[in-house]
Amino acid sequence: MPAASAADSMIPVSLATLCPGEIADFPLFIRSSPHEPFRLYRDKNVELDREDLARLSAHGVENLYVSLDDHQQYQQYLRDHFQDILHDRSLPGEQRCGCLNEFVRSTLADAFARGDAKQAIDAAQDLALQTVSVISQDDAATGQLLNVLHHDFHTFTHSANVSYYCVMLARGLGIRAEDELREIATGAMLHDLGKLNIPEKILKKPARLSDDEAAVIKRHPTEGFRLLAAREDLTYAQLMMVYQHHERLDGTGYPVGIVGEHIHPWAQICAVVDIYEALTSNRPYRRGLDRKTTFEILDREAGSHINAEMWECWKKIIQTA
Amino acid sequence: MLEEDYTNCLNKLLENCEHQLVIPSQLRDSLAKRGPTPPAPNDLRKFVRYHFNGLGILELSETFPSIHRENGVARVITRNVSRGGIAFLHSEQLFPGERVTLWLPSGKFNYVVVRCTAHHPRCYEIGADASQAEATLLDLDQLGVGS
Repeated sequence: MPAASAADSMIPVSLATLCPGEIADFPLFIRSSPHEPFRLYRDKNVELDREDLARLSAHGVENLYVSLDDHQQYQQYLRDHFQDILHDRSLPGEQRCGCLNEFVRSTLADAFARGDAKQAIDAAQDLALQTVSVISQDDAATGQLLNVLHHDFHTFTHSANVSYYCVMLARGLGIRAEDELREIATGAMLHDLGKLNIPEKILKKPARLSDDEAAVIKRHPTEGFRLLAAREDLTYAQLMMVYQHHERLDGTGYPVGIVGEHIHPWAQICAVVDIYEALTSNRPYRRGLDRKTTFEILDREAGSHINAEMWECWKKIIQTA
Repeated sequence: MLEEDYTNCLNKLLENCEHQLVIPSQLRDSLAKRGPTPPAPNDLRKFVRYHFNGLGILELSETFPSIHRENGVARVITRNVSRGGIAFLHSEQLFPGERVTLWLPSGKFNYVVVRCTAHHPRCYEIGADASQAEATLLDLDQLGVGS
């Protein structure tokens, strides 16, 4: 029987990503609180059925755990079963959205951790297809997806959330063609790719950045552009989401300081939701802001820094989801 | 003889190119300056820069698959130069990594765009690097700039 390990050698896996009736080739562990030790819940090659998952959920369990040594097997399991969960209409919408989110985060986390731009780009293009499929299939999906999102400070979490938000906002603005929405989702997933070239100690600094550190961070749109510009499978609009998402309508943004209509509309969409996501998510030096405070901040930015019409549309989506 | 041909060619291009660049008032004074430029905060450049104000012709030699560019040339105004690169004003935005050739009075030089800053919707300051273009570092004496 496999031994339960220390906390730093275990990774949480969302119940949403576990396919009922399927057998995993890795053991699953459970713990009732952060102070309790991990206990074996299901050994490898033992089926986990629908009732098991329902019972866990009824007891408020959101995650089981997998040993870090079995992480690759779990990733393969996700790839093998992700589509089944996503398209199983008998499962609750929130579970399917949760599965999408976990799969996107996990794939992006893996690509970003390797520092491999090509892997990240290929992953983003695949994930965009799934993202648009889920959000477009059902109007209720927007609310369901918003309920399952994480709000930590990891770049992969932020990229995933911004991608979902961009698709939701684009649809709200009347963009309905799926190929266009997929392009927007891909561009959004890659919008902070340039952070691969920013030292991690700056990205994760648990305090305000110095002026020099802020100057380093401000290089990421240009770094992202450099990583992507030569690719023939990305469009000009997608490149501009990466390069221009920190530009502001009044010319006070970066890296170029262009104004108004010179900022590509897709970059303007990305700018609105990028700020919203950043404010509502936890950072190493502060907790995420509540909705009321976030709305007040962005109401002040609307018109001068960000597109007012897009902001109003986004507010409405959040308020009615 | 060859130099005369080049100079004539450059002058013809300068005459025939459209004046699309708009110089904002805050930049006009700086275009009359000479000598070394003062250092800027966070300045990571390797070499001293010198004011180098004059006309030139920009030719775009290489861009990226998704960036559409019209063929042709454009008038630019150079601002400063160092052994490692050059800054000039152009009426359009250029992107990092695009490759350009500048026709200056003392000859043609290849550069790679490093940065672009907007001063006006029809005035962008382009910083370009000579070393990345695999060209020899600039001989400032050749350009008539003091060392």
